[in-house]
Amino acid sequence: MTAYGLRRLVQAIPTLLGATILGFALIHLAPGDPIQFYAAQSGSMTNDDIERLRHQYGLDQPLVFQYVNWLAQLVRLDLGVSFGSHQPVFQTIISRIPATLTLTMTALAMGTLLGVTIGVMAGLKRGGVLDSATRLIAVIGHAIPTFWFGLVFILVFAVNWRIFPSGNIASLGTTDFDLGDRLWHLLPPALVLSLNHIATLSRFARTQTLEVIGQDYIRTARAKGVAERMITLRHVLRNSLIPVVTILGGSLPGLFGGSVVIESVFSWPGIGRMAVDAAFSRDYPILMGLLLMLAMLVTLGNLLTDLAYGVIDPRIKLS
Amino acid sequence: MAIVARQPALQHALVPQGEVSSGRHARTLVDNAVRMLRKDRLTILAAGLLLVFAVCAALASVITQTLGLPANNVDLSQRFLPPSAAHPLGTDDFGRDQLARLLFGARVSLSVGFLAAAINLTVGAGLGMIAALYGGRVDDLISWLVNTVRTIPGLFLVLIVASMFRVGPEGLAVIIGLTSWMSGARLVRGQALQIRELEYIGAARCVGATNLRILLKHLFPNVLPITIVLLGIDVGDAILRESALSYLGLGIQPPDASWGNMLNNAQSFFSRAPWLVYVPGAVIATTVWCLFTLGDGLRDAFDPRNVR
Repeated sequence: MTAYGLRRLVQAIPTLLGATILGFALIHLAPGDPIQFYAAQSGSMTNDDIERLRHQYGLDQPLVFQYVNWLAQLVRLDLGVSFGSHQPVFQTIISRIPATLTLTMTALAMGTLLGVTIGVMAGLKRGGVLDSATRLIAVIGHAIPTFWFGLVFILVFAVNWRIFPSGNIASLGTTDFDLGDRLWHLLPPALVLSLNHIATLSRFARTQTLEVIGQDYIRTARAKGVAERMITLRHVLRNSLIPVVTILGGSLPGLFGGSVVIESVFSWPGIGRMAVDAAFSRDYPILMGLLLMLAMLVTLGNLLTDLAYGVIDPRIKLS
Repeated sequence: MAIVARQPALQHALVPQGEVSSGRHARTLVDNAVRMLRKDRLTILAAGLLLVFAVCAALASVITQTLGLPANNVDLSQRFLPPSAAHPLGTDDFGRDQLARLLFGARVSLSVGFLAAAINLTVGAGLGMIAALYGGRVDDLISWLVNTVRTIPGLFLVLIVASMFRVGPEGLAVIIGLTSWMSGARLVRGQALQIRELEYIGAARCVGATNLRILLKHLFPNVLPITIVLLGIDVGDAILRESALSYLGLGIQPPDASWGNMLNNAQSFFSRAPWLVYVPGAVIATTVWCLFTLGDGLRDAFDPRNVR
């Protein structure tokens, strides 16, 4: 399995290179470069200034050369300097990653727990009220724009009822780390972000449960008098959970993409909101750094999912 | 973002049509689908609602004129009016009528959604068929491209492109279409790989048909049903993406209305005008729900295993 993991890591290199080439080409082939953009904003730059800055940032060099340069710096963990803040991009992104990982992983865990519970219960009582509700939730959960769900959540629970805070990672003015306060701030955005995941998983877990219930070993267990609760926990739940693992990795791009909007809605200081700010100010080094970071996280998530699948299901041989 | 689980339910939809049995008029795949759809009330409801929305969008200027509600008429003395007889859905921060803006926004949001989905399916189905038909290096290249683009979270990718190319509604549709074709390509490739092995493709090759001819005359008609079914889901996804971008301020630009950019300032409406928060999002959710339900209904209807 170690060999398999290593080979997958090596295979990931061309994919990641491809993603960065794609991002680089998109960013640099777009009309107008960042210097022009800043010049238009400041309004007081002469053409000489523009040329000088362009030279300073290496933007007057051929595109291939610029990309190779970017790669060469990357090897030294140097992603360049942000156009906006003039801080090193690598450090800036690293400082924001924990907030985003906390948010997305909480959403993943909460969504998985809720989705599987709902889906399995719906499958066990096929045709019941919960079953119909699940099928409705599955479609509505995908149809509701997540950012709007977040807005309504804030409006109802923070503005009108004042149960939850309206955003941010901790209460203003708190300097010490207060776990309760942090969790209180984490819960709303994580719940909103997990909506899609809950919808996908409840539907999937329901299908899996229905499949497992029809198997012969369930009938055998019933026939030999195993208590219904044990059948549910030992046989149905465990076996219907196996394929759920395959879905987890596939949810990562959606969760990271969703965090771009949700972090903006809840003023969450992670890389998602950073991406929106960088997009507005055309901060190319930041955008390239974020693209690489997100692509790496997604690739790693997929690899871990496949490895976990091999561990959980002995029938799967990783090769 | 939201992609309803796409099961390859149509893999048996490729049975020869019009197989005659016992002298009676044979039921075709389409006949069966129509019979199934007639019984499926939810799908009919969704299709009906969509039709109403589309007609309202098409007649937006007529409706607003009849009701006397100009869409972009800024009147600062009429700001944040709650719903009333004169303004059924209230007015916004510039004193513009919300119903009128929703109607005109429907034009933008619906047409961007349909155009984006048409582009993404054309690219996706095209690349998927080419990958399956030519195989070998071509297949490797296309599959690599699909896997590569999929490692970048879709909303982040579309955010970068939309911020680099500040474009109008048509351009936005192209951007959304060109950043979301990957799952369609994968699905069509899988279908086309199965069809490629069927005997009539071999027969066509025997009589000297070129790859292009096989692609257009044999593969395309057979992957068309899944593509049409995907359309409903993809239009819904495209509308969601456009609304998220416009909410962030990188999509449709004011003063033009789209359902997403009507929520752009939503946070500042919370205490003064909550109806400006509730209504546009509810309209988006309803439209996308209709599209997904229609897509699901069509998929079930065209699945021969469901024939009763």
